[in-house]
Amino acid sequence: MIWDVDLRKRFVGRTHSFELDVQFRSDTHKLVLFGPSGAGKSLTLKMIAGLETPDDGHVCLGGASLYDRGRRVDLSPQRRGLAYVFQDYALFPHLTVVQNIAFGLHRGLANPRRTARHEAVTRWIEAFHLESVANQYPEQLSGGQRQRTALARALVAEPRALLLDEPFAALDRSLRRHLRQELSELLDQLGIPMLLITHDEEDVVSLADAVIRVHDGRAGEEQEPAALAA
Amino acid sequence: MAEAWIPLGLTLKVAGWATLLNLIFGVALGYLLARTRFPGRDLLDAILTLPMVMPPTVMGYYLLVLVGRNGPVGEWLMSTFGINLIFTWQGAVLAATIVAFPLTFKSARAAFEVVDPQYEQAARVLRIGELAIFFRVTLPLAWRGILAGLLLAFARAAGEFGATLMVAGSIPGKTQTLSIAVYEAVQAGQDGLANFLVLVTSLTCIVVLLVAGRLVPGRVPGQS
Repeated sequence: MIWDVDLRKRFVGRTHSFELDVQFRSDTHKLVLFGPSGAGKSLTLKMIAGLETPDDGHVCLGGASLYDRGRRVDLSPQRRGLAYVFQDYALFPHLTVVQNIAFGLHRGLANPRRTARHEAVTRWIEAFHLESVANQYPEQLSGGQRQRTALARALVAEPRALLLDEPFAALDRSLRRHLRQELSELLDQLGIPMLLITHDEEDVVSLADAVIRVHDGRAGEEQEPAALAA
Repeated sequence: MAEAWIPLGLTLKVAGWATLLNLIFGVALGYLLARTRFPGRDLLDAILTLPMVMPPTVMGYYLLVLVGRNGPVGEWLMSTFGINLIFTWQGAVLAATIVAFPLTFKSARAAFEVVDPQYEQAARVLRIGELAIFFRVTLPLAWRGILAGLLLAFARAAGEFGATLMVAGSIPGKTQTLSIAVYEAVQAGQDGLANFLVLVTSLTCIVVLLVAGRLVPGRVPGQS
């Protein structure tokens, strides 16, 4: 079993409260959580990554426990071995493309030098055709280049799974189609599991092996992507 | 005008030390208040901002009461380390540090608050430890705002008068900083010396403000 997720969290606010109660088990390599914004998808993904703490539940990836309240397991985000691509990519604005990609490979209290070259970083830069912008800063990049830099930064450390939060939302339509194709092929090559959240049906149709609908803090059954159109 | 260079050197020494202490404590406390929530946070913020609104002589009086020979801190310093701060240049550093502190602290807190926590989250997932995240992500992104605050703190410390006079007095060559020397020169009718000291002080402050103005927050290193 790739994913075994069972998460609960309650927010009680002054005006309204939100209750998240998401369960799914899946062996799908390219799994998409699909639902409107505010359904709790982002929160679910953050809890899987360890960036938010659930009230109760468990998260298992490939049989390994990342979080299990009952057994008092709660690995820090650093120790979960996951990769996370944020919706607006969260590239470090003070670092170049090379430095961003090398960020996780570089230990210690100082950032990688602008001139530092890691073999793995160079390989990803070539794979994503980022050579011409390797020494530029994120704000100088196009949307597609930003997304590729974020993917390279996430994948260079060889994560156990790739989590993607609306990775195409910040791009224009024509680019989206092309990059979906690129990501899909890449994931087939790498063979690491992907969990993507989106509110865009086209992401589901062109990327997903299976889809789970999320609505109002609840997850539905796993479905074929085609079932969405029906 | 040789006697003008001694107070200038002393002023730079005192302001330099005060700025260094501000860097350490202002950044640490600014980060603490920007990134953590705890009971009494607003009260702590108010207390740390107090030196900005209180008359320096009142701050100086507080310090005298605390670190003076009979004060609780002063007595402890004397019995434990044999240190006396009153009428010493180190006492002047203490006074300048505290009076200038809110400028660094406020700037640092504001600079940390505008750093998007998402960058820190991204670093966490990339398996970077919390201390390294502070030095590799948070501090570089907040640095310009902190630096601008530090320069203002340096200028404020260099111009300190009231609290310094209360704590360190006006001993020529020992605790007599520029601003105090100006006062003494005017009192003594030494108009030439006073004019010169005022000119030196003004030029120093203009330079500091010009540098601080080039470091307005919101710009990130690496941006052209």
